[in-house]
Amino acid sequence: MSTTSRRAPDAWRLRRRRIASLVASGLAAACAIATAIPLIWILAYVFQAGAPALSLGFLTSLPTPVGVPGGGIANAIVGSAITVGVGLLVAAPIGIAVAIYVAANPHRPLGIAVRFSTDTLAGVPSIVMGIFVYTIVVRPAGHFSALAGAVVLGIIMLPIVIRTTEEMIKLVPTSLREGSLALGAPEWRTSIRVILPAAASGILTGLMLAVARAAGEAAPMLFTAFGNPFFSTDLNEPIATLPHTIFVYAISPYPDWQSKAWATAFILISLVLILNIVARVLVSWRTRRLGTMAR
Amino acid sequence: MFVMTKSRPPSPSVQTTAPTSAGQPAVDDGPGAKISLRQLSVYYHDFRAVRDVSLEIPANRVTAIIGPSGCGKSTLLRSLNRMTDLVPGARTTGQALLDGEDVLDRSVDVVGVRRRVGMVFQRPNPFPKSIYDNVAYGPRLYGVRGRELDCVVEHTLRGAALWDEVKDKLRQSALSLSGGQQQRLCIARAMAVEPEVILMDEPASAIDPRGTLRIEELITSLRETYTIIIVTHNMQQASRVSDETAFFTMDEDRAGFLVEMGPTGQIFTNPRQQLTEDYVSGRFG
Amino acid sequence: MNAGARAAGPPRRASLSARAGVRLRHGDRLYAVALALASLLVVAIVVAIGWDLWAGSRLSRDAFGLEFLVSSRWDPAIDRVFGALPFIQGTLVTSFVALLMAVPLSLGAAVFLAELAPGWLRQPLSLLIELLAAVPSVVYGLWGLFVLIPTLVKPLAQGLNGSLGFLPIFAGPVFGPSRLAASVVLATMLLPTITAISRDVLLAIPAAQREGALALGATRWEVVRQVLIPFGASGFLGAIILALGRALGETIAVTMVIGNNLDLTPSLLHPGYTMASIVANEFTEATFDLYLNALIEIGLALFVITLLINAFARLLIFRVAGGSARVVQA
Repeated sequence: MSTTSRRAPDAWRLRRRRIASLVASGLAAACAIATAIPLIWILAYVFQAGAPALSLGFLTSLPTPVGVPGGGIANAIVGSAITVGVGLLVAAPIGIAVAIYVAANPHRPLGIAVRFSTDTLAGVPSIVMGIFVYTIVVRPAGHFSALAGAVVLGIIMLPIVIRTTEEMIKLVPTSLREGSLALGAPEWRTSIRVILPAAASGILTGLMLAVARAAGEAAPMLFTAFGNPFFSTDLNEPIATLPHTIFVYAISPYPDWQSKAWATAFILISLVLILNIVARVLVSWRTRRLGTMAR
Repeated sequence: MFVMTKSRPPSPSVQTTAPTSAGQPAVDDGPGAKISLRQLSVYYHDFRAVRDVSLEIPANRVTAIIGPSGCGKSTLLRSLNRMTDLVPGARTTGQALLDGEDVLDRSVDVVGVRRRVGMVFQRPNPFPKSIYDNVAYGPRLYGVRGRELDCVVEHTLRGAALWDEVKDKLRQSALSLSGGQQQRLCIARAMAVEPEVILMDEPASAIDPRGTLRIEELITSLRETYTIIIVTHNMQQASRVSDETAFFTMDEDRAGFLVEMGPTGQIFTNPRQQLTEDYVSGRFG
Repeated sequence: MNAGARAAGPPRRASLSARAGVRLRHGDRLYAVALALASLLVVAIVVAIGWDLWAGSRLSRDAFGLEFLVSSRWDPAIDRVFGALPFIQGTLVTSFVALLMAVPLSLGAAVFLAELAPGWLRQPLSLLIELLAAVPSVVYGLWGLFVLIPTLVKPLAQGLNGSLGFLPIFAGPVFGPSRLAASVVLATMLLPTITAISRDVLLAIPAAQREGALALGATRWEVVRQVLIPFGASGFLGAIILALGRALGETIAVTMVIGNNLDLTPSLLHPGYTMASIVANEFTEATFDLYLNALIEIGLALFVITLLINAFARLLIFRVAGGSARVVQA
């Protein structure tokens, strides 16, 4: 081994290594761009194909049979609002309670079991949840219902609410919690009056993400909410939802319905993306604020 | 103990004539200055962490940088092999001349700079690979393979006084070593690419006293081969291992600056500046 | 503490504080019970799903046993015989091909986002890719059916059939809706999942590892290839397996583009069926119990697979975090 023999080919070796690094970086950049293209492509197409069919009437009127002009998705908008809303009413309190428990008892057997269950629940295909709710709600009742749809969406939302809430609770400085406990406040009051408010915007974020996810679920609605061409607000009746409407219109052979599928997709995707973007803004705002609090 | 003999071309800066290239201010580099800082400042966004530092680092000596925490000494050290490039918003002004070449110049190849100026970090950071692979990592980058690589690894480990401890378990994970051994492995890893300068950022701060002692012995034994700059908050350590000491402190605006630099004995026994005296005698910081 | 106060203090004040204490402590116990009950409910739901699918598929399990998984006869109309092989094959093939397409792209994208992209580009690009994960699957299906199939999948299928048609997997005739179409749509849906998790894995690797290599004169790419990828390997594997779980269970988008065809052919260009899409299509049409049980058994199989896959993937991703923690401690 001589130093000079190792130094001599350095120049061209270094150049080769730098070129390899550049080429690899270029490839990685190409991958990143390729990964981002579908979103732009989808958004562009949904906008282009959906916008022409959009009108105020489309949002406020009921579906019409094929060939009859006009018609809209008022029933699906209301149906989605009802199923997601009722689902959230069930999932939010339970999810937040579970998150408080897991954040406080991560190493207890129940805490571990809950964490595993939450992860599992997040991974179970929504169609399987649909089967589950079909057998526990629809079959005993003897008919499809908005309630069944709400239950399925609630179960889908649960793991999302639990996880984000738990993360946000863990961000709350322990000094805040100890401060309250040291004043003699009981655990439950500390949780509700101190920790939850401090984590509020983070929890809100989780709820929004959960809503965004649930609002887009079509598969489990096939045999729970089932769909309904008429206007209904009855929890005991089948009900239309936005994603299910898109599915039905999309696989129909009629161009008129297909263009309505695009218009409905426009509404749905706007809703979902707005929820996601607002949630993300909330998170970054939140982390910054908690960061200064911790200091 | 230190048996490794290196066939290194004599560093130009060791010659008595200072290598000042044309166009640079005619500052006296002094004999054997390896690194010359000229009005070096380091900023993080608008915050100036290091202010207008000008000093000479002599070749083949151990130079210690001491000062209270937050005085920018680590930042200064990291700018010397451009590790500050990794921090978004970090930028430098002034010059850091390595044998007369400004390593902070944007046109200088950063990979080449880091090869010449190695670094050892505060916490040992071996790769989760074998002991052998850790030492071999650098030489492999430069195309050393096979038997030659075995030789380099052995030489380097001997040079780092680690050979006897690890020669039977070269294929074991580096993470199986003790903290002090890991740090000496990291020093060996830096030595293996034959740098001219080794920067050490509080290399013993995360190590137990016995391990610290071994590291200090190693640093002392390496001074003939390398120019070593060591940042430490431990003044005893600075006085034990270094030939030269630079004392830094910071202003109200938290910008670190150089108070004075001189032979270690003089800095600790007879400093010229009141600030230095207050610090080394424990009245401040 | 309250008991002590009661014993030591003057009687009147003591009883007051004791009463408040009892009330508050009572609240605490109630509160703890409520939290624990909610937590139990989550565990119970998972157990109930498993039990429900098991019980609900009894007729089919009794009638066909393991034959169910290897038989390709799905005949609800005449012989009332059920075998799930076409769906299992369709699910496995589409998921595998989707991973084949998505994994290299996503890993490249993750490396770019975490390591190589200039600072100003990271946030917006990350946001785009994360929003892609938020697009509802029915919209992917719509886009796949009306945009992707005519513009990309069909020409691609024709090209593959023309040049490699002698291979059974590219045998003709060429259809639009096909296993290939489902794979491409699935791949698109997996991109953000793998990218986001892999990026997080990369970001979780201690900076000291990067600095160690850079300080030895490694280029950015050498750092990625020699230090970060080996360090994060099991995390990437976890991301891929998690994505596999998504792919296996994805329903609506696949149902819309796969063509829903029972033929058990090896060709990617042929329409097919998946486990999830047969359930979606026929569940409400299952007119007799055995039929419904057979569909539920497919759901059971999906549940068991995703259960195993999720457990495994999380273990792998967790190991990276645990591994990095070990290094920091060392």
